Amino acid sequence: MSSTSLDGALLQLEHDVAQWLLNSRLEPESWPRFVFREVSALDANPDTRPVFTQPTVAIQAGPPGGAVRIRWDLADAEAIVDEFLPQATISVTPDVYARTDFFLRTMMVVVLLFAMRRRGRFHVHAAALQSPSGEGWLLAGTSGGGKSTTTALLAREGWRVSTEDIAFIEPAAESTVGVRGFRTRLALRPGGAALLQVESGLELTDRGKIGLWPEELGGSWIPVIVPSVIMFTSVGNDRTVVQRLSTMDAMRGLVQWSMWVLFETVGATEHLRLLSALTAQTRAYRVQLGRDLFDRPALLQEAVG
Amino acid sequence: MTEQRYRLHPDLRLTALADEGVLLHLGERKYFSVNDTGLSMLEAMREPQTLDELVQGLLASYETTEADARQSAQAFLERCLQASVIVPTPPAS
Repeated sequence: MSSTSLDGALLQLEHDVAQWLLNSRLEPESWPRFVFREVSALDANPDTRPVFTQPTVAIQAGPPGGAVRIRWDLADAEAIVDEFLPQATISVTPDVYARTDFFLRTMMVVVLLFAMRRRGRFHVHAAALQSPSGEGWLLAGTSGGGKSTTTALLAREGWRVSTEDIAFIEPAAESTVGVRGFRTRLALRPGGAALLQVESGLELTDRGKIGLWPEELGGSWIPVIVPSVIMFTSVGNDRTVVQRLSTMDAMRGLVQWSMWVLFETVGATEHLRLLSALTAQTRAYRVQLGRDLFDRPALLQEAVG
Repeated sequence: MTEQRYRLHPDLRLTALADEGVLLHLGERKYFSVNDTGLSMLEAMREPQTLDELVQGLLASYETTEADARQSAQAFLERCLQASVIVPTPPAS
C-alpha cells in the first residue's frame, strides 16, 4: 500500500486498512495493492456504464471498459480497480476519516472482492466451516438468513470456522474447489445471541450486533476448507426443514450468491468454471432454520447424512 | 446464396454441468440454463455455424429425424437470438 500524501489522517487510514487485512488472515502475498490519495472532492463521474447500486456503493463494471469504478455514497470516496492487476487507486475525501470502520466494511470490502478476482479468487457471499470430522460446509444466503447464528452454533460444537460471510473460491488440490475465508468476528443479531445464550462479545454498536471470534465460542479458525455440502439458508419457525436441491438449482443459487460473475469479463470464464466444479463436488440443500436447531445442533448434520 | 451463420455472443460464458449447460450473459447480466441438446448447439456455435450445420450436428449425436432436428434447431436459434445469446455473423464468402 502507498499513499500520495504525508497527511497523518491518510496514513492512519492506510494503517487501518493494513490492520484489517492482517486481521483477515489472508496471506500478505495475496493482498491487492491499494494506493490511497486524498482529494478535497471527487471529480464528476465520466463513466457512462450502467450503475449497479448496492446499499452503500455504486459500481460500474464490465464491457466496454475493463476497470471497475466503485463509489461510496456515505462520504465521498472512489476506487478504480485496475483492468487486469490486483490493485486499486482509492480517492478519499477527509469525510471518510471519521467513519473508518464503516468504510472498511462497506467500501473496502467491495474493492477487495473485485481486486481479488484478478488473483483468481472469486467471492461467494457465504459462511465457510468444517465439521470435527473434516467435512466442509458452505452456508450461503442473504444477511439475516441465519448464516452467522448457525455458524456460531456450530462453532460452539467444535467446528472450525473460515469465514462468516466473505468466502473466496479458488482451485484446490486434486481438481477440487477450495474456499478461503476472510476472517471477521461472527456478528450476531440480538435474537440469535439470545437463542445461543451468548453473554459476552464485542458490541458492534453501529450494526446493533454482538461480535465474537469463533474461539470465544469454543471453535477455531481454519484458512481454507473444501466444501462437500452447500446450504442456502433462511430463517424459519419452530422446525428446521431441509430440502435437497438439484444440481442446476444449486448452480443457480451459487450464481445468485456469487453475483460478480455476471459483472465483468475479467475472470468470468474461470469464475464460472469454479462455480460449476463446486456445484459438482457438493450436495446442496435449501434449509429453513428452526428453533429446534438450538436444542439439537446435530440436527443439520443428521439431515444431510 | 450463402446461408446465414450464427455464433455465441461475445459477452456469453458457457459451461457444462451434469449434462446440461449454464450460460452467463455478461452484457445483460443474466443467467440461463439449457438442456443437453441446447448445450451441444451452443458449444458448436463457439465457431460460426449455419442452420444446416447445426442440424447435421444434431443428427450425428441424437436419434432423430432430419425434420425434427431442423425444427428443433430453428426454434432454438430463434430463442437464442431473442435473448441475445447468439449473434448473426456475415455469411462465409
